[in-house]
Amino acid sequence: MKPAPFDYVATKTVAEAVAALARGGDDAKVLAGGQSLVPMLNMRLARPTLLVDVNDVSELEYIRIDGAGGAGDAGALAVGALVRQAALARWAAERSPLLAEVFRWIGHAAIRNRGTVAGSIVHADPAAELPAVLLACDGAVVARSARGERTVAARDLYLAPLTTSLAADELVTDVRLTLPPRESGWGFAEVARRH
Amino acid sequence: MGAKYFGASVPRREDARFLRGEGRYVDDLKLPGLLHAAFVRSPHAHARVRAIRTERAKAHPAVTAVFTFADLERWMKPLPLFGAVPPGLAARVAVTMKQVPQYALVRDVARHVGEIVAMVVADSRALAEDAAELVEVDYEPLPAVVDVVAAGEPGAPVIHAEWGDNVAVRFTTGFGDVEAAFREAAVRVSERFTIQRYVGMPIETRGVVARWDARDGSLTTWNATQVVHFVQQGLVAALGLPPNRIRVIAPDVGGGFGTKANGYPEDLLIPVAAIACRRPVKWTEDRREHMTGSAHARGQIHDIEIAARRDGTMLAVRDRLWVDLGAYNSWGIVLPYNTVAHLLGPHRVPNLAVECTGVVTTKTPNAPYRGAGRPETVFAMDRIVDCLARELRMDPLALRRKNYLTASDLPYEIDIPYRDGNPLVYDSGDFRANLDAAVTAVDYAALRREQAELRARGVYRGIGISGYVEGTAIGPYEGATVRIDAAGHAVVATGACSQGQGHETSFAQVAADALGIPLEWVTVVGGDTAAIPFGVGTFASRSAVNAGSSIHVAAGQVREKLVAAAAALLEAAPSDVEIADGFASVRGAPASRLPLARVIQASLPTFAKPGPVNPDFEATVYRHQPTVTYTSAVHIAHVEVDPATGAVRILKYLVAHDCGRLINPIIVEGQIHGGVAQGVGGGLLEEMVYDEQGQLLTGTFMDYLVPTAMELPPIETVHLEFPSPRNPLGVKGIGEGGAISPPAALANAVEDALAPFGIRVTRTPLGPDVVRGLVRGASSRGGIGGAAPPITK
Repeated sequence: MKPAPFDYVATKTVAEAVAALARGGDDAKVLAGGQSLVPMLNMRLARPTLLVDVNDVSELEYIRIDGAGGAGDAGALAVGALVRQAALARWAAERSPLLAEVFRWIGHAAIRNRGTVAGSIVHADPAAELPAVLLACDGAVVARSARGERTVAARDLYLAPLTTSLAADELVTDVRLTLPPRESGWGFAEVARRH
Repeated sequence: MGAKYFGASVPRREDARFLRGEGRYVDDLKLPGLLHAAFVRSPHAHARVRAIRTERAKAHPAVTAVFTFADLERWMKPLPLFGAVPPGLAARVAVTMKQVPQYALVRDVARHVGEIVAMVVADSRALAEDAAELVEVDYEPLPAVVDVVAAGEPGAPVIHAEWGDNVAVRFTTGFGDVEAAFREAAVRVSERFTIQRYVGMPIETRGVVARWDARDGSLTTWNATQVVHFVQQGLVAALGLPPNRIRVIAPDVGGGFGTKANGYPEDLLIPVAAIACRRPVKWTEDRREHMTGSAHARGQIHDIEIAARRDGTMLAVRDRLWVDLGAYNSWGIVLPYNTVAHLLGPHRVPNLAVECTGVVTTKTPNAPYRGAGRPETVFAMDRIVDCLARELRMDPLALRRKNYLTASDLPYEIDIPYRDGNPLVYDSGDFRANLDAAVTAVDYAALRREQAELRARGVYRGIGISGYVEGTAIGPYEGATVRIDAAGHAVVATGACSQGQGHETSFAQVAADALGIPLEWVTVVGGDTAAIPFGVGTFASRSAVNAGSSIHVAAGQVREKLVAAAAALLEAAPSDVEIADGFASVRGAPASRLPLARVIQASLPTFAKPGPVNPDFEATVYRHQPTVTYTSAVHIAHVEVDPATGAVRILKYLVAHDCGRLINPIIVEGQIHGGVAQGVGGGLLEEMVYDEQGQLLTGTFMDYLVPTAMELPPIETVHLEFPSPRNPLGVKGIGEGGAISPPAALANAVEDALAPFGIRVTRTPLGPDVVRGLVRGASSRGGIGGAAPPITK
């Protein structure tokens, strides 16, 4: 269970990463938290010829709330693609009861420390929590490629299990969610055979 | 024997290093010049290997060697076979049994996905895997044989041509007049039950390291095995070396469960690679390999019938069963016969007829896994007992109370031989006492009241009972050497190695008591063929009884030698000398107290004179254990089932059991907890699923679900102690017991919870799809309440 050979490029900016993806074409993959990709590499189920590592692209490490109207707990949330799940969980603890609850259900502490919010969303595993949140919260992702930038709404993102409408050369830079206002009600339930 | 430590909850001495990550496993071993192996494994369930081309792999710059069967033919002796029919069994049961040599590398036909076709040795594991992809194999696919019943029928594609069919084991046995009993019985219930294929899943996968020493022509191999001496014997046969030139070491091993008590191709291939390459070689199994390359287990079908009087008195059981053995039959009668010998368990049943068929299929070979036939047979029996209760409109508890054997019935003979050929006679216990203890502990009556109240509100809770009687600690022996060093400390060596059972604690308790020294002075060595020349190994709940008893006897003999030496030094009669806490003294004369180190020092010869006694403070005992001791338990599961999602939640799980005298309650409870966890896996989560082409569909932990702490309820235990008369410690085996009853208890609980739907649970694991299917089927038959018989006393 060791990966097949691949080329590897560590990038420091979005521009570098997008350029590398453009060069790699269909056989390039983005490496961020690696919580899904690395096991697939090890099992040789995924065999990219190029891995574009974005772990040093610090411009993607932000959590912003826009148009909060002073409430501080609602509005359009923008999460940079390198934000770890644990980081957003810490942010959400005081600000978003819904998100705070959801993160408890994701993997284990070690997985949340490494796994990114955007990574889970674009991996498109129907058993994962964050895609459901993206759909429920009217979310979208911002994708950039050498061809430009576009925003893809959640309802247009998911085509099938583990399949999105993103192209191989597109890098998701940003996740957008509309958080429900504090006075609104919410619920989160999950049936899983195993946690 | 002073019992200072025996029976005490001594914290496990080995845990400090395990919890700190300081254990040392096979994969931790680093040797200079180490090479790494990877294997080319068959992607087909059944295929003739037409040609293997290794040139491209050999040309890889990191590759040292590539081996096929033809390359290693001189060493390719058949892998070890187990489970021959012992004379005592053959005399009473006509067993047809076929076994076939299995080789470490495919010679001509691959018979399961994952069977090893070629071995690549390279500078690193990753590079070896790259090169393995360059080996080209021409396969001619042959028909897969997957369904166990169909595989045994005439006309099925034959897996081993020389057999003519796929039936590896067949026998009938029983006693009494079953036909008459069924004819005359007021009530008869029958059902087909399917126990899925599920497996032992140690956290540490298997691994082998081998080093050939050209200086003296000796081999040392480290192997994550439960059976170092069996591995040694296999190597002796294949390599033609005497045992003293082959040292097999099992260092810390992270779980075994029987999976590592099997004979494996890699046990031979890695040593052979080390000899051929003249360099040390390592292989650590990865989880993907483990899923198809390590033994599978379970996988049975039972067509079982029970006859009873209207008052619930059981009259007869008839069972026709099929055991899926996988591609080979290296375990002979073990799984089929274990299944049959444990069918009746705690019940008094005067008539029995069993027809057992063990069949080979093109799947990973099966081997004993924690329970080894018992969870399967208990599932069939406890399910049909609950079906009978429903038919009789009787509470399943009342039906069991009526038919369970009690202490006054024991010793009790089931009139067929045990697997070892000896009479099957329960030695001690009180199975109804187990039941009553369990029922009291869970407050069964309160649970029944709560069940009725909640049902009215649409909440479905159920209670499931399962009981077993288990032959544990199969012999014929496990040896022990006890040796005292110059400080008076002891080393205990035994062939029974630990995979987490806590031998370094429990065996030390036994030895320290028998020697009269502090526990801290005892070092336990298991898993090294250089430490003791003969051994059997750790499996079948056998170590406490077999090794523990030999340790007890050997340590007693060493104590006698110490007493003799102390008596000479103290100028006292040996009968007046006592040893305690590491000191010798004359009874009633505390001033005479001498440290054992002084006694030992004084026994050594000096220039002036020979020692007063020969300073031989060592004894080796291979105590004979002719047959098994019988452990028993009752498990009660309390569950809640959501009919909308099919989710099953365990609310409470209780085990009331007897494993004789407890050496260490913490360790016994740990064994039960671990066993129950694996039983919950079998009941709710785990299944090795094959498609019709014999491809494994559950080859990763994404598909094969093992329970974690999150899925497990708190497990309560009640200890009953009925000492075994069959060994000097009065102990019985408890390694497997926890895993035996959970599938049956959970299935009974789920059926009980969904009783208003009139469903019948016939298989495990009870995943949401299965539970929803049952509920849907019930709804289409007329819905809830349609056919639910009320339960009355």
